[in-house]
Amino acid sequence: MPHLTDQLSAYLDGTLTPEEAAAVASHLAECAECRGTLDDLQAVRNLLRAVPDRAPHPSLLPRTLARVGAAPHRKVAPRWMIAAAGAAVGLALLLQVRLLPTPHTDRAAGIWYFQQHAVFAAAHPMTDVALASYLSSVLPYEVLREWSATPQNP
Amino acid sequence: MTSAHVTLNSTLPVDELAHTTDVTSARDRFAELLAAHWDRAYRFAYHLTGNAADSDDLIQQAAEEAFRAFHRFQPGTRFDRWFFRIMHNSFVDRIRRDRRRKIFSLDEVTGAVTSDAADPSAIAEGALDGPVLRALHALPPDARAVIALVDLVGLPYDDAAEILHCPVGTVRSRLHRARLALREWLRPYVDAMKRGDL
Repeated sequence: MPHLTDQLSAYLDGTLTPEEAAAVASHLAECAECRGTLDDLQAVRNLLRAVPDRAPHPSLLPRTLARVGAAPHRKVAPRWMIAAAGAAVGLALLLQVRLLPTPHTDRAAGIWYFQQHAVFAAAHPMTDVALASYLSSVLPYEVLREWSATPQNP
Repeated sequence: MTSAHVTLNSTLPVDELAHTTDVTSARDRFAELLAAHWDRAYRFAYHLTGNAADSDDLIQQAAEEAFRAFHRFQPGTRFDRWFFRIMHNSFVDRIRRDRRRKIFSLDEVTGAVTSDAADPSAIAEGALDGPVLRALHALPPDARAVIALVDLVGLPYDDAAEILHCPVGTVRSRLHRARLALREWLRPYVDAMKRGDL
């Protein structure tokens, strides 16, 4: 009697008809070699099932949807929420001006700070606005006045 | 036939997410369906390509093609089969375009897995997926696809046949031959698994 071939995998996976499965079982009862092959196939299947799942990067789905133009519509926030967020930002800026320390009380340090700012702003123009806003909020008034255009300090 | 022309017959099992309300746009419906099947689709893509970069590219390309063809998708049919089939078609197209890769028969693959698979002790250290994945990726693409669908994604034979566009009998024979090849390449691990050491 010839050995079983792909019926063994189908038997293992339970995809045979009852009649086919009975025929395979009958063969297996008499054929040690096919029983060994069936055990091997089961071990292979178990090895494959033991492979850990590969999870996609969390950003892959949103990036893919955006790329294909299928990103879901975002709901626009209510006006009151936008207004509240604006007020919160304004309050935060105000508190920052009031509360942050003024680390450069002498003129030399203030001017040095502005020179550094100029160098930084030239190298990174896109950050200039944010940095300037920050500096104008933390530097003392005397430094700002001293730095303003004069014959000695154009 | 390109993947954009894939259609499925209407007798397939109903996908529960395909019946969204009429007011939902096709775009939102596509996004919902893709998200629902995303993890399994990625697993299939990963085991087809063998690495994260190629699987990212493949699944994105498949999503683009599927979205372009989404007006042909029949609500009430299985989105996962439809999308997997598009992705597999994209994969086959890629392989055909890539002349550096050689498509070979399973019979030609011998000794494709190096001897580092001969140390089952590595399994205890959590390195099981290394040799198994190397063996899997040494399979020819058609055999790898059927192993990925049936043994790794867990689909039944008829789903795999629908996705691979071949008869169920072909799925069965390819699966069996691929498992036999893996058995030879992973013999130490197979024996360890049979002894209950894993």
